[in-house]
Amino acid sequence: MLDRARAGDLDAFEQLYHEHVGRVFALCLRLAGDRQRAEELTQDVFVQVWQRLASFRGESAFASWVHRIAVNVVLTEVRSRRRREARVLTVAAPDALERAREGSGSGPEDGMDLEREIAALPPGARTALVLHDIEGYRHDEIAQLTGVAAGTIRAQLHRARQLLRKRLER
Amino acid sequence: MPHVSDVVLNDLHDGTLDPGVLDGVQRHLLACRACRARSDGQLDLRRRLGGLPRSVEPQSPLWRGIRARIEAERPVVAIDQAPVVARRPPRWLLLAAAAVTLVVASSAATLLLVDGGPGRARTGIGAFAPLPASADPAARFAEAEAAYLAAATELMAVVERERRNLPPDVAERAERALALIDQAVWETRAALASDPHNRALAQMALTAHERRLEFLQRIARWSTES
Repeated sequence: MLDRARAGDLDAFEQLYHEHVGRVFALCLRLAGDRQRAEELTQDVFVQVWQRLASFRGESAFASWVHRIAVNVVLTEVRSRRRREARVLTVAAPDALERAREGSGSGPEDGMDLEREIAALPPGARTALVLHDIEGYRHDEIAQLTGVAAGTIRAQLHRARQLLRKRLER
Repeated sequence: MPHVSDVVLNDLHDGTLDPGVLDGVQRHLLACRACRARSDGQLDLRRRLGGLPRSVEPQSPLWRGIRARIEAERPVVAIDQAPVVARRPPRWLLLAAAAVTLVVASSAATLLLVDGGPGRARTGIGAFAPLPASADPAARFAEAEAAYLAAATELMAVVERERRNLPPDVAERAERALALIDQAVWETRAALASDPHNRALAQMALTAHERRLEFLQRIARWSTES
């Protein structure tokens, strides 16, 4: 499938899209905190994946490669929209994520609250938390991706967790 | 020992706590109920975060928009006018179309550069050697194309940044010529997709990429010198 897509076959690329869109969209949604924006970002990600397919050499798993592109696309966009990111709470994103919670381990209320509070975090803290505690990146990797010092990432992560715990305890 | 701060607890759970204080912190946690409760609270939050779904399907169907953008950015000439039918044109027709487009694109680019550009000399960039007889054309093509695309992306960024320096009529002609070259690239790729091990097609696709790169480099130089 990958070889066909690399050779320019859009139908093959569509199948790759369906395999990976859920993971990409979840990442975009949590980092952007806005469903509509997350959809636009997801489109940007897959257009970039298509454009760069020829440079994928198979040294990492395709899913990891796509994920890395997604992180870069979202962080670049988030940086350029910093002022817009300053808003405190979005409504659409937690709703979309709540639907995804149904059928997963915890109850929907629990997931809804948590997603809503993640979406309400300040952008820097949210980025650190999503990439570290949900996506599993290390401090130094996040520092490299965001261009922020690793010490600052740790501080933002600490702040994010504190804010989350405080808000969830209310 | 004083109570353990939240920062230290975070470092403990992240595995980044200074080993010099690790023992003391762990001993304190065994003895201090308050710090243990805070530590458990932190672990509970991590458990909840770790339990969030890694995959969320978008509500809207996004593929159609993605496909439209890809096709708009990389136009492929519709040899067969039938809409959205996955019927592949005969190979000879794809090859012929690709060859014709490549010749037309090269001519258009050459005309533009000879007519108006300040630098007429061939730049000599990125001239990849012809595919060696022993190489697997598909592998060789992927490797060479990746190099061309990387170089072209950099040049496109320069052109986008500096295009305001070009006279409007030149910018317009450059865009038209570039569209023709793009068309040649994507037609040869489409032909190659139907026959991935065809050496002639792979070579033709690389030639199209090389023309595109030469053209972009010339335009980039032209716009920065203007």
